[in-house]
Amino acid sequence: MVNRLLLLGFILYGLFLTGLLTKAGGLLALMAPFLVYLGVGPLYSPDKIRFKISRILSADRVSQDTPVTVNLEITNEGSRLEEVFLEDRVPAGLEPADGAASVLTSLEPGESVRWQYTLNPKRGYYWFQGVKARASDPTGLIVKQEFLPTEGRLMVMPYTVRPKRIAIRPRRTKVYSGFIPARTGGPGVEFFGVREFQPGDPPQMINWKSTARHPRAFFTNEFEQERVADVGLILDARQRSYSRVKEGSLFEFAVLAAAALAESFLSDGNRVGMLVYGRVVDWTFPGYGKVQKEHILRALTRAGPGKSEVFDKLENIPTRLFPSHSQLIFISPLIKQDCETLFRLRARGYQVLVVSPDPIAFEEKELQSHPDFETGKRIIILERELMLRELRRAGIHVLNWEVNIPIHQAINSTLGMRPYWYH
Amino acid sequence: MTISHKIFWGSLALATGLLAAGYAMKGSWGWCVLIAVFGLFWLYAQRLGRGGIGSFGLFFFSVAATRGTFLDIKAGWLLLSVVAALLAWDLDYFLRRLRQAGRVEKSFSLELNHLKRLLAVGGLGLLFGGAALTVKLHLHLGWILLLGVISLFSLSKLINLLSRERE
Repeated sequence: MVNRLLLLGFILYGLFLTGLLTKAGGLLALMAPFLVYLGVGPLYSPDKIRFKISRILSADRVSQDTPVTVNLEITNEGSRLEEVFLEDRVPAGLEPADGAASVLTSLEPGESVRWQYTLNPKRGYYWFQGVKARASDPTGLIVKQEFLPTEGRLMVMPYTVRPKRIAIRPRRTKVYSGFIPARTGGPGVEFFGVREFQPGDPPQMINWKSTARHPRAFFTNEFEQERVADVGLILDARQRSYSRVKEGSLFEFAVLAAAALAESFLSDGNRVGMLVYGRVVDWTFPGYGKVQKEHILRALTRAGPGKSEVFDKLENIPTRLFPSHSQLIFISPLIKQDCETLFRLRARGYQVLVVSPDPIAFEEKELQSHPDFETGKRIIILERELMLRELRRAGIHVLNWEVNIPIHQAINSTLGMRPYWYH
Repeated sequence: MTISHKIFWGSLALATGLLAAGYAMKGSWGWCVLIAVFGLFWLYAQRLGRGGIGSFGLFFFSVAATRGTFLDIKAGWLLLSVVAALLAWDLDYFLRRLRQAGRVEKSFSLELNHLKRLLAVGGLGLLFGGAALTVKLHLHLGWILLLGVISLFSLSKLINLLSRERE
C-alpha cells in the first residue's frame, strides 16, 4: 500500500511547485483541503498506549479438535483513543473457527473491551505471545503501535482411543502379574504343561490321566503365568519417511497409533517407554500407569517430523535404552533401508512389531489424476508388499494400517489375535 | 450499507461528475471519459476490497484538477472535486480498516466520529480553498520567492513531524 503521508506530501509539493512555476493561484487554492487534512493528524494524535490485558482460555490442555474459547479483556489505562485496532497474535497453526482474533474500536480512559473467539486446534504446543495494539488518529496518518505481551499456553494432545488387548509375547517379562504369557508355568489360565505333584499343590490341579499312567507318582497341571512386560514404542519422526498431502501429514496418523498403543499397553499394566526418533531423539523413560500415559502424551504433543544428518538412518537408534528381550513396537510408514535395522533388532532378541501407516493409500487420492498413476501404484504396492513379506519372514509382526480405517479397528482386527508365531 | 459507504459513493460521484463535466464543457471528451471510467473503476475496486487504488485515484484526480486549472475549468468545481476526492480516498481507507478488523465494536459511534472529523476537514478545506480563490494579492518576485521558501520549509517540517509521530 502506498504510504498515505508520502502521497499527500507528493501531491502538495506538486501543486505548490507547479503553482509557483506557472503562477497559477488556483493550484495553491487546491492545496488547502490537503493542508487541513494534514493538520488533523497532530490534533487528534493518540498518546502512548497503556493497556491492561487479560486472556483467559477455556482450557489449557485439551484433546485435538476440542474447541477452545479465548476470552480477552483489554482496559485502556491511558488517554482517549479515537480508533484502536487490537489483534491477539494467534500462534502459528491456529485459526479462529468462530469469532475473530482482532477488534477495531474506540476507547475512553478506563473503558474496557471484551471479546472472544473459538479455536479448533490441531495437535501441538501453542504459546500465545501477546496482543498487538495499533492506535491512530481519525485520518489514519499517525499510527502508534505497541506489542503488549500476555502469555498463554495451550497444549493440544492427540486423540487416545483404547483398542482391545494387544497380543504380544516378548521373551522376557517382569515379575508383576499382567496379561502377557510369561513362558513359565504357574498360576494362569492357559494350559502350559504337566509336572510332578509337590506338597502344597491344590488337589483339583492333579492331572488324573497322567497320574493313572504312572502309579507311583502324582502329576499336576501347570498353567502359563501371565505377567507384565517392558514395551518400547519407537515413533519414527524422520521427515523423509512421511508423505504430505493437502489434507495433512501421515505423521499425524503415526502419532495417533502411538497414542493408542501406549494407552492399551499401559492400561494392561505394562511398563512403557517411548522414543521419538527424528530431528532429535526424544526419550520418555519407561514407567507405569496414568502418570506415564501423561508423559507419553506430552511427548507426542510436541513430536513433529524433522530432518537430521545423524538420525537420518534407523541404524543409529540407541537400543541400549530398551531392556534386552523386551517388546519393541516401531511405528513408521517404513522405508526400504529400515528393514536391515529391524532384522538386527530381531536378531538381538527383541520381539519387534511394526505398525505401519500405509503411505500408498494415504497419497492415492492426491495422485489419481496423474497419467501414470495406475502403473506407478502397482509397482509401489509390489515393492511394499515385498518389503513387508521380508519383515514377516524374519519373525517381525507387521500391521499394515490403511489410515482410512480407525486405528482401534485396525489393531483389534490384526493385533488383537494371537500372532502366528504364538503357538 | 452503512452511512460511510453512502458518503464514499456520494463523494466519488461528486468528484468524478464535477471533473468530467468540467472537461466536457471545455470539449476535452477524452479526459472526460477517462475520468468517468476511472471513477467507476475506483468504485468497483472499493467494492472488491482492493487496496491501493484509492491512493492512485486521489493522485489521478489531483492531476486532472491541476490540468483543469490550465483549461480554465471553473476553479470552484475543481476545488469541490478535489475535496470530494480527498473524502472518498479517506473513506476508502476507513472502510477497508473496518472490513479488515475481524470485529468492530461501537461501529456506529466509530463511524460517526470519523465522519464528523472528515466533514469538518472537508468544510474547512472548502472554506480555506474558497478564500484562497477569492483573495487576490499582487506580490513582487522577491516576496513570492521568500514566501515560497517559507512554505516549502513549513510543509517539509509538517510532513517530517507527522512521519516522526508515526511509529
